[in-house]
Amino acid sequence: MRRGFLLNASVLILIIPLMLLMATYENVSNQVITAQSERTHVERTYDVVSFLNLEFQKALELSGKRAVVATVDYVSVTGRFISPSYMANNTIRDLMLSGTSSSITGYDIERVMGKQTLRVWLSNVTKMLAEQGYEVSPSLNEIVDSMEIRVAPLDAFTVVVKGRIPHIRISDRLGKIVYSGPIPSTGGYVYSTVDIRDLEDPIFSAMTGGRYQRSIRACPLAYPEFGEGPVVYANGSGSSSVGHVVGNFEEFPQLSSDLGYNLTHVWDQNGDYLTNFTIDGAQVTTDAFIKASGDVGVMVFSNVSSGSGGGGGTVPGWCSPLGYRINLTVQNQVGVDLNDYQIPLLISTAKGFTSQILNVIFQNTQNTYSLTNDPYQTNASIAFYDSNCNPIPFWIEYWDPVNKRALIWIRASIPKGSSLNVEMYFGGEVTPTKGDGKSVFVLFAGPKTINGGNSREYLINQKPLDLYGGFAVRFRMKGNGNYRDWDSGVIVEDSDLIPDDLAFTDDTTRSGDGLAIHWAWWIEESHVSARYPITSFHVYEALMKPYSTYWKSAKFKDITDGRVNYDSGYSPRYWVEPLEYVYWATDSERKRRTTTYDWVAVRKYTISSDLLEDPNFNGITFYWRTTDPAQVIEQKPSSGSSGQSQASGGRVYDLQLLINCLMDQRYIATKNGWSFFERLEGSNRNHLAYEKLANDTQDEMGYTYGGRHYPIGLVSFMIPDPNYDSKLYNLFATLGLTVEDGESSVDYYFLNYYFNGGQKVTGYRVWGISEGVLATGDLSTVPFFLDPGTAGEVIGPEGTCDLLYGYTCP
Amino acid sequence: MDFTEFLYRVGLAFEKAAGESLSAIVSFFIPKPRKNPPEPGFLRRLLKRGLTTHELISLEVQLVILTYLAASLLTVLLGWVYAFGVITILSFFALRYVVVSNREFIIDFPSYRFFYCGLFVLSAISFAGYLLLKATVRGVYYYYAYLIGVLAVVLVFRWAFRSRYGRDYTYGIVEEVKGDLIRVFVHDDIGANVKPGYYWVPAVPDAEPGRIVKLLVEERAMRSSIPIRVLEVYLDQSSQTATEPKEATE
Repeated sequence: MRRGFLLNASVLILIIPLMLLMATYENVSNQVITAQSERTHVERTYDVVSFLNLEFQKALELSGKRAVVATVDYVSVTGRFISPSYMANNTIRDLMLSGTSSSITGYDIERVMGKQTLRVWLSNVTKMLAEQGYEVSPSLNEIVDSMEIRVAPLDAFTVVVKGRIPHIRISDRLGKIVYSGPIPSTGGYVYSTVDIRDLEDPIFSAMTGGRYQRSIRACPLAYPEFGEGPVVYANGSGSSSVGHVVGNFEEFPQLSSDLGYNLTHVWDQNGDYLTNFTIDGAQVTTDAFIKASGDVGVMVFSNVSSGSGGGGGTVPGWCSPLGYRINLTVQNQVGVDLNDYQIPLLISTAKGFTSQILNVIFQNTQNTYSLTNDPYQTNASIAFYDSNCNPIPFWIEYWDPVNKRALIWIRASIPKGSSLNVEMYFGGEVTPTKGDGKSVFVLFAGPKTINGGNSREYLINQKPLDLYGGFAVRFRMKGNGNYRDWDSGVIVEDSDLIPDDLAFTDDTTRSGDGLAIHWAWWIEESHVSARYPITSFHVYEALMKPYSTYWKSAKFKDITDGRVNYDSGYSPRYWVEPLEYVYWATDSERKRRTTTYDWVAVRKYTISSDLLEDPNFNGITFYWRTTDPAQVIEQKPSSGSSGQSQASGGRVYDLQLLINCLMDQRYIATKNGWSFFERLEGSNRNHLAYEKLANDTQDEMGYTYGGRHYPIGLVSFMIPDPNYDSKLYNLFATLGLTVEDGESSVDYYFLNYYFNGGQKVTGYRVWGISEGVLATGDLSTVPFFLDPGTAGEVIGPEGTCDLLYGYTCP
Repeated sequence: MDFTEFLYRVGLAFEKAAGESLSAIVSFFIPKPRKNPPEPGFLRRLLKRGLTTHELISLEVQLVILTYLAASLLTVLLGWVYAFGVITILSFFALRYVVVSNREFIIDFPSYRFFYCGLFVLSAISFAGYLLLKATVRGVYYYYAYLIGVLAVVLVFRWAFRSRYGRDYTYGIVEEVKGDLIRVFVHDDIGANVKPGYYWVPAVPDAEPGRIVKLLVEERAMRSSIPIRVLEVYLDQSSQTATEPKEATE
């Protein structure tokens, strides 16, 4: 500063833009620094949030797997199922969160869970972040409590865990918030899946007390619902004399049981064949459904005739000379197996016959009603056969063409809950008949007139009947005059050392001992009102229902007028099985009175309910696919020229993959099977809830099969057979269990029935697996039974109709 | 001195101080041209002896302007808008006080007034504009454009000033003659952009010490102009020239 001068004017002027330049420089520098700082902050936030997102996903996966395994282990080891009220998925969620659950007691969970819970994970993450200078809030407990975790079945073989932390805040050392928001940071949910394949199926260990284990392994084609099932078939046309042909597919058949095949035909050694194959309407060659040479296969023919039926008809598949046929599906709703039983077929509107059907039957059946005007003495031109043209014994109790009603007894077997196909032929081509009561009933006799009197009895059977269980004596009787005291009926004698004779007698109102039940003679008598007049026939039934081996519940009915004596005051009566003798009897105190019996029939009555009693025999029902007479009733077709076989449609099945899965005890996914969670609960009570949960989750994740939901149910099969499952076979031998015919082999039904005292679920043998004959032997030794419900899902509706032996397709 | 007298003196001192303060404040905001040259105050001690009153006032004006610019820069950097406003108002009054109160002692007063007032207004507008810019936009190119705009305005101002008040000559006093060179003293001349000081120029006849000479100046880019030779010697005038303060103190 010389002489008080600082800057010259030019510089002074330029100092303004220079200063502004300086300010701009500073401003820009500041902006750059701010931007860099922001970027660093964002990067740091991103790093922390990415780390948390990733860690949360991993933690869900690890804790989910551990929790699933821990739950399986708990059920398997302790044999206690998870409470269906609390539900298995909630239990797994609890274990994931904290390693404990109220539904698991008396079990060291940490042995399996380790420390792989979300609480421990969060604690570790908090510590890790703290070391890096970050603080997590709110508190550990608050975050764990707020976590949204949902465990659901995704499909049959996968469990999915859906989770999120609704809010978490991470701050740095300076208190600056690095992140505040949900985890995952996208605001949605994290999904983690747990594959349950190769895990132990807990239901086996739990139900068998640890004696039998099985791992969940999927059948190679485990989703039949989507057309990816273990059974393949094709439709075809061809010719056969039999309904089913079982064999091994061989390109060069050598054995009699081999099914030969080339690209266009499948045939057996008897000339039965199928060709023109289609799958879903598309023409295919055999390589589309025969997977490999040697596979077990079944040819199923529809509308087949053997041409040699017992009825002597000359038209293939028509068993009788009679011109009409109605196929009846007789269902056993009695609740017990009816083995070699007297089964009443009530031809009446009460049983679903429509008046049109009854018209066709009664108008086209030749009968003898006009000779006596008594339906009970009317013969009719009818005959009964099974599906294989085997005649079924029958006896007509009454045939009433006026009221279009008939009661016919047949002798046949129908398993509990199952049905029997009965072909009833009718027409006018053969002489009307009453049928053969002796073939149908345990004891059948009549007509007979006895000279009654005081304590008079006439033995009906000379040989003891030795009929165990309950029974009913059905008879038709009248007095030959309106006597003052009648007291006629039957006596049944037991097999006690000193035989007990129980009398069932009826009386006229003049004396009053109506429908009396009493020890011969007149000890411990019960009776109801009597009848008058007594000169007309009434049908009676004396029932001795099985209270126990030594005690029977007696009951005496007049079916004609509806009177019933329940033997009140005396029932049950001491009466020792088996039934030995039956007598005609009159125990009037007076002489010279005769009684005429039209017939007496003894039938089995092994239940205590009235499901096999008049008037409607409610335990026996008919299944009606349709009631259109044109479809229900067939007319005899004209005779074919060959007489042995006819052109027919049919299907070819390759069962090998299913057999492989059965042998390997693999699982198939079905809609109604017990899902993994239900197996943990030992109950399918929550099936619908789990199915909804799965469907919702599948929708959320976009995990569907062409817009359809994946099923969650699992099915495997239990076959106590040395070839299929030697472990189970040996277990049965060890426990002294015997395999019961007709119990479904589906694992949960099977376990429930044999090991848990559950209800029997009726299953049927399956052609090619447990029915038919192969080179390896008779398949009927294989105890494999499939219930129609499961069959429909595993082998499809067609397969169910075609392959279940003895099952009538609805 | 008894206590009463002490209190009386304190009262007087306070009254005097208050009166002086009030008059100083009033004269600061409503300045009037002085009749006497200003007391140099603290500056006198910092500077060489022989400083003219004109130079002293010029220095004061420059200090006010530079202080204002520095303070404005600070407020702009810190983004203190209100502080900038207060500083601008205070600086305006300070400049006005210096200029108005000393107008009688400034050689070529209109040119100084135009230059420093113009400079002040330009500065205030430029910084205010910059603050506005900072508050409204973020892109760096807006700033560059603004800077160029300010530079252009500044250059226009400089051109306007020079075209109005600019000269290529100044006046000086011959201080010494040495051979063919003479040493002249020149005052701070904003019109010719010459710094105050002593300059050697070729000698001319009649240029004797104490005589006033008219000097041709040579312009130099971004630097002060310098006298290069004598144009004219005023034989009949003493050193009491137009380039000197009207009431010289030499």
